[in-house]
Amino acid sequence: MSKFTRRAFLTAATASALTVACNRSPRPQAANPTATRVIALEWVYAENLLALGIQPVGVADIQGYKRYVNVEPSLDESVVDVGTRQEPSLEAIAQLKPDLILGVELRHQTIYDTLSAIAPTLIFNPYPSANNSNQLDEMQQTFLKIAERVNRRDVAEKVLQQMQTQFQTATTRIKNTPKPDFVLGQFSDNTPQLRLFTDNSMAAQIITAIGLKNAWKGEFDRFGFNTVWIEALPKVETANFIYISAPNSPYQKQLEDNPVWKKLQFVQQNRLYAIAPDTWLFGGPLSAQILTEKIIQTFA
Amino acid sequence: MLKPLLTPILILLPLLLLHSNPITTPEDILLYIKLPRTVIGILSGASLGIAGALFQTVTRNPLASPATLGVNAGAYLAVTATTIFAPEIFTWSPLLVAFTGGLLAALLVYAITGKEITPIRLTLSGMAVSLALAAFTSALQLLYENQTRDLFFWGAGSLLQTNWQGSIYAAPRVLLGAIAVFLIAKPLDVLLLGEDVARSLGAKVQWTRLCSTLLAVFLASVAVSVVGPIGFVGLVAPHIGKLMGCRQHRILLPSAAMWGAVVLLAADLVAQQISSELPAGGITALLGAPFLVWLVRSSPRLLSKTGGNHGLIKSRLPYPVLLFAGVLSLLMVMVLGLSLGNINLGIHQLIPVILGNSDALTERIVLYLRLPRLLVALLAGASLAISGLLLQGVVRNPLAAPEIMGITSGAGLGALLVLLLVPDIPVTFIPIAAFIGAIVAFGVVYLAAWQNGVAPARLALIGIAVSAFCAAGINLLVVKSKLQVAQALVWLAGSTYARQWDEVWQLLAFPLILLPLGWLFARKLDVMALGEDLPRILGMRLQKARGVILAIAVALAAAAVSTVGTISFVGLIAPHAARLLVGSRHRQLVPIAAILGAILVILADTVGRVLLAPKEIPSGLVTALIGTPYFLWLLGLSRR
Repeated sequence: MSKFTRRAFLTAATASALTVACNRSPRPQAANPTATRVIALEWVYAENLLALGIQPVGVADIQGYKRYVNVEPSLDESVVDVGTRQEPSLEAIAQLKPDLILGVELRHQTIYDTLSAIAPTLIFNPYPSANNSNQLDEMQQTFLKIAERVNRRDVAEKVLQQMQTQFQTATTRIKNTPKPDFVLGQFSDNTPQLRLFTDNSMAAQIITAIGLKNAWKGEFDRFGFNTVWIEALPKVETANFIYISAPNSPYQKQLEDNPVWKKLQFVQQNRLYAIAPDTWLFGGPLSAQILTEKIIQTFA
Repeated sequence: MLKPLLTPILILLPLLLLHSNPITTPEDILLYIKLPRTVIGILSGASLGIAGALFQTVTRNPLASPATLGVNAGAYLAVTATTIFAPEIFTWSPLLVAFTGGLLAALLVYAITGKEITPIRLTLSGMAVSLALAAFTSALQLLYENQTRDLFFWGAGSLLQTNWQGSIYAAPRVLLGAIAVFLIAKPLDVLLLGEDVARSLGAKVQWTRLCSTLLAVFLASVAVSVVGPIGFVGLVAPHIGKLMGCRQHRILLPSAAMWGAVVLLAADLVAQQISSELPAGGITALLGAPFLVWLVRSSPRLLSKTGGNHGLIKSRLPYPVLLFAGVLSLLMVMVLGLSLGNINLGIHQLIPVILGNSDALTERIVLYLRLPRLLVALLAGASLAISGLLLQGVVRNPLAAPEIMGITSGAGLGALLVLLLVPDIPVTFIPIAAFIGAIVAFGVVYLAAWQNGVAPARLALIGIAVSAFCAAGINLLVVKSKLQVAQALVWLAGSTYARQWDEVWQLLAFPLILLPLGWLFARKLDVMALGEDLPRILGMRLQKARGVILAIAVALAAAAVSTVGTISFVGLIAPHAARLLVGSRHRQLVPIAAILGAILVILADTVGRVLLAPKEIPSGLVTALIGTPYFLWLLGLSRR
């Protein structure tokens, strides 16, 4: 028993030593005005860095990024995967010794304190909740903020200028489309669900910016889309149906055999426009340009 | 005689009109979207109703149903697993997949329940098996997020249809099953007279039982394979039939079928009124859970004695040695947890950290990233284990645990509600919301179970009902909140991810005060184990003692869940393992169970960090994955 007590004493001593050690505050990071080692915990910010000509040192869920986000330049082979977007590995992040971490409020607000103890951390909210703001504006503002932080405001302004120029090109290219009304839909992989994008979404804003008109007037949704099924489509059947579908969505196939679908005006008049599934609707200026290109290709 | 059959038809007709909403929709939508949805609702509601009636007769147990017997959970797991690993088998025959999964789960529940099929034993083992299988399902869904992304929606039970395919698939199978069931209606009546009487009348009891169980699983699987696991319809429908006076199965079965259709269609209608995306399955649980509470309160027959069989093999090691070995193992897994991770550190790198002369990165990783979450794991594990131990002692059933008493899902619901209703709330309030949710849920359970005192069996059954209610609420909120699914899933799975020193200090007070209190009151549990009467004779104020011990147990579990989310199985397994080691004296059990619980969660944290690094697996899933096989093994052991 005496041995046991001594062991217990040692345990207690170690524990209190640890407690003392842990109460020292973490060493403050030297605030570096121009960040060069940046980690992006959300895909859109990785894309933003690439647009600014910076390869991030770490990105969350690189495999997913490559599947959904299809922009040039692409991520270097040397970029380190730091885990999932939801629960990125804090150890992997610390190990990369970053001088800037970019995250999204929805996922990373809860770990903000821990992240900023590792390096200065910026957290953005790409889904403004008020009706007076929209996701396209927010995207540009965030892009500029990030650019400032890495000292490349000039590059950012050029990229945004390019995007606006392309919007104008697109406007003139598709000016002669007889019907400017559109609905933007996205099919789910394996449930009978269709996302229809509302006016505040970035995708709908972009298509509106090039002169088309969103015919879907659903209730305001923070994320920018309403989830519906075909009952909702007759309401907008006079519009053009632009859609994104997963490569093998079984429900889209089922839909094609459905009499309701077959009788919809945009189906009968062949006004269906498919867009490749690797078009990221929640991205930055580069993704916006890709979406615009695809729209030009389908309409012009 | 015809009234029990006419009433559901009379309700069904206007419901059909409402459901298909013919006035405002063009005929094609009615014919190809609304009507298939209605027909699939009728078919699956009827299947579930008949299956419930069969289960209730076969087990002579009013609480039996496809959901309570694990059939739904088993079918769902089978569907999820085949979607990922063998999609061609799933597309070849979804029914076969669901049937196999459902049947295996039902067999498992029967096996665990053992010979003495009391309602409480059956329901508790069904619940425990369902929980275990559900943990596997969500583990698969998290690890294979892309393949299973939208199964979560289906898993909540939705009647949404794209064409007649589902109905064309289900109709002949339901019809065939229903006809087969009718052929055994007579022998089923005989079964109700009890086994001995039935046998003396010359009935083939075993044969009837086997046939009806297979048919019930078959019918339930048809429903699961077309509309997902829908709870409570199978429980409620036969009871409405019985309340209307159906005794003979020739009337009871069709009546249960029709009431099943009525309940499911009504639930779907309610769901659609609230939002076009709400799955009917969530609503049936919201409606069905209060019904279960009512059923439990109004049937005193349910409260037959609980199987308080704690008699496990006792190990021969002396107690101090066990305690010493426990503390030593705890220290070892702590050191292991500190050294393993995205980078592995040796002891020679750990020691300088404690002395304060290591490099900044190592210090950060060990002291600010690993140590706090390991300590949170330790505290939460010990708290959950003791909570489970105390609950099992009070309810006198080894299958009781925080997740079965409504505490865990109550906390989950509380946190999620706050997260969604007040999205801008500072994150520090979420644990508080979880704590309040847990206390409120258990408060409801306790009050609903109070009828001149709290009978342990009633407490457990009502706990299950409230758990189901909260779980349904969680499912609905997750489906409704779309993009946040990943966030909610991770939290619901139970996570020690990114826990900091703040959380250690927050949690510390509870175990520090409540664990010794639990130890103090533990002796009363030894007396309670003797039954209802003996403690009273010995001069114990039974209700008061129960109240105090329950309060300690709930506070411990609520504190743990509010810090780490819904980590399950620790409260179930750690007490079992402790009993295996030290026998049934609660004062000896408390420290050992606490140590085992702590070790389990610390290991889960470490494994979750290391296995797929840099990807993290939520600790709750790891405890379930480690715990389920162990749990089943323990149950097998305890029956020998």
